[in-house]
Amino acid sequence: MLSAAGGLTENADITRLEIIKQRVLDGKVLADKVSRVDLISSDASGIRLNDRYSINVPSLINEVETGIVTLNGEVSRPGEYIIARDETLHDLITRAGGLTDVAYPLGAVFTRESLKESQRESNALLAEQLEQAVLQVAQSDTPDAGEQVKAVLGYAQRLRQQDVTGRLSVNVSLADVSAPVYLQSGDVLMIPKRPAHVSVIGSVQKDTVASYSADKRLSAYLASAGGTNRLADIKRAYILLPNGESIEANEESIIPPGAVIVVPPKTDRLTVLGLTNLVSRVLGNIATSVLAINNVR
Amino acid sequence: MFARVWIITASAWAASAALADPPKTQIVLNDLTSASPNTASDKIVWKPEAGGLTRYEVNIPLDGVERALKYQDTSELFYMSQKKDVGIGLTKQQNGTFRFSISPQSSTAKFSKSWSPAISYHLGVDIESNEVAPSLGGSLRHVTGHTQLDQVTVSVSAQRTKGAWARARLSWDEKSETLYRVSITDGNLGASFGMRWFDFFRETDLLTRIALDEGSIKIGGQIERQFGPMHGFLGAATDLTSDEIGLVVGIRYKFGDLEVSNSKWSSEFFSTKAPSLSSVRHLKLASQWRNDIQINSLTAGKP
Repeated sequence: MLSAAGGLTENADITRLEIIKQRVLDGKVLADKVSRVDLISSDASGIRLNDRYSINVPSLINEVETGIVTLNGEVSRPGEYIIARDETLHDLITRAGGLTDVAYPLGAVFTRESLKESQRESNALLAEQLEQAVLQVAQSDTPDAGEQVKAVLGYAQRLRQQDVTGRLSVNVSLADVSAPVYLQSGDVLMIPKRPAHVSVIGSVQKDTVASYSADKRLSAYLASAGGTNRLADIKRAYILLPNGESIEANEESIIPPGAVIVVPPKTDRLTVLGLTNLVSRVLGNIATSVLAINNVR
Repeated sequence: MFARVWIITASAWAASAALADPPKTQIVLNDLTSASPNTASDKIVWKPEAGGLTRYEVNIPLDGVERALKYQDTSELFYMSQKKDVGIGLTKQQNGTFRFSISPQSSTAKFSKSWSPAISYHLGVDIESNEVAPSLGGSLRHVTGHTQLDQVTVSVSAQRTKGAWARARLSWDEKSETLYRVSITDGNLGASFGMRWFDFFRETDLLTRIALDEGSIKIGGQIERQFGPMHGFLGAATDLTSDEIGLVVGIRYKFGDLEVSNSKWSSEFFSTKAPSLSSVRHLKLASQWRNDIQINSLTAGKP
C-alpha cells in the first residue's frame, strides 16, 4: 500500500503510522479500530489489510525549522534566519553576532504580522468612535467647544491615514527569564542607529523634530516647538519612549534620543461627553506610529 | 553651663557621624566594582534608597553601560534597565540628620541616627521659656506591602514625655498619600488626619491636615517644593477654637531640616518628622537615577 502511494517522504514519522479499520453503518463510514504501528520495530510486509482500511502517515514534528524571522539594521549579521520552535529573540540576536557599535537597542522595532490587522481595526474603530462623539458635541450647546472639536477631528483623520506597524515592545539588551520573547514566523526586528533627535507633537505651536542633547529637559524641547499653544493640557503631557512605552512627562523626566513628547489638547469642554479618554487614546496611537516610523527611517 | 557643653559635645559627635560615610547607592559606571555586591554576569543591580526607604530593584545591563560610557549619556540605559517593584524596604541610613525647629515659645535641636533599618534614636535639646532640657528618644518603623509605612516615636525630656504613632499610605496611582497620626503628650491625647497631593501644581506638593489636639480643632495647608537638592515648605493653619493663625516655613537638605514657625503648635501641626512615602514613588526613579548613576567623564571613552 505504501509503495502504491509513492513511498514515504523524508519527513514521514514511521514510528507512528496509524492504521484505521473502517466499517459502514447506516450509510456512514465510521472508524472501527485505530492501530499504531512502529515500522522500525515491526515488519510492514507482515501486516495484511483485508476489508476497508485507511492509513495515515504523520509528519515528523519539526522543532528546528518552524519559520523565518528577519533581522534588519544594526545587527552584526543581518538577514533572514530559520528559527527553531523554542528560539527566543535574544537567542537569535546572539546567533546574528549581537548588535553593532552604533546600534540603538532602545529604539528596536519588533513587528509581528498578526498584530498589524488588529491594530488597523482598533485605529479605525477608535477614529469612528471619536467622530461620532464629536458630532454629538457639535450639535450640543456646550460653550466654547468648537475649537476643541476641530482639533479632535483633525486627530481622528490623522489616525485613519496613519500606517500601522504591528509593533511589540521588547528589551533587546536584557533577557527576562520570566517573560521570554518566543519568535513566530514572519517576525521582523529592526535595530536603528542611535538617533540624534526628539519629536514634539500635539498642542504645540509647530510639530517639531528637535535636536537631542543629554542635558535638555522637557521645557527645552517644548521651547524648540515654539512652546505650547493655548489648547495645550501640559499636565497630561507624556513621553513616548523609542521602545513604544510611554511615561508621564515632567521636568524631572529622562528624555532619551528618539523619544516623542506628546502634548494633548485640553478637552475640558468635552469631558462631559466622555471624550477626554478617547482623545488621549487617539493621540497615543498617532504618536506610536510616528515613533515607529521615525525609528526605521 | 552643663547644657552648653553637652550640646557642643553631642553636636561634634553627631556631625562626625553624619559626614562619615558616602551614600552606598551611588554607582560610577566607569568603575563597576563600586556597584552593588549583587553584580551578576550581564547586569548590575542598583537599589535606589531615599530617606531610609527602598522599593525598586533596577537591573542595569552591562552592554548598555558600555554604550552609556561611549556617548556620555545614561538616558538610554535608564530605560533599558529592568525595574522590579520588590515592595517597600527599610534600610539603615548611613548618615545622621539634624533637625532645628525655632519658634518664639520653644525651640528644639535634635540629631537622629539609624541604629538598624527599623530602629533609630535621637538626642538633642528642648528650649522652652529659657530653660534648656536634654531630650532623648527613639522610633520604630514598619512597612506593609507596597504602600504603607508605620512609625512609632517616643521622646523624653525634663519638660515633657511624648509618644506618637503615625502612618503614611500611598494611593494606588501614587498621586497622593494619606497621613494619620495619634499622639500623647504628658497625658493629653491628640489626633490628626492629612492628605498630601504630589505635584499638585507643576512640581509643587500640597499637604492639608486637620488635627484635634488639647480640645481644639486645627486645620491648615502647606505647599512643598524641591529646589535642586533642597526641599522647601511653607504652611499656614488656623486654630478654629481661638482663631489663632499659625505659620511655618522651612527647608530640608540632606543633612536635615530647619524650620521656623510663629508658635509651638504650628510647628507640631506641620511636623516634618511625619513619615512620607513620596521618595518611593515610581516617578522619583528618574531623579534618583540622575543623582546616583554617574559617569566619570575623565576616563570615559569617546564616540
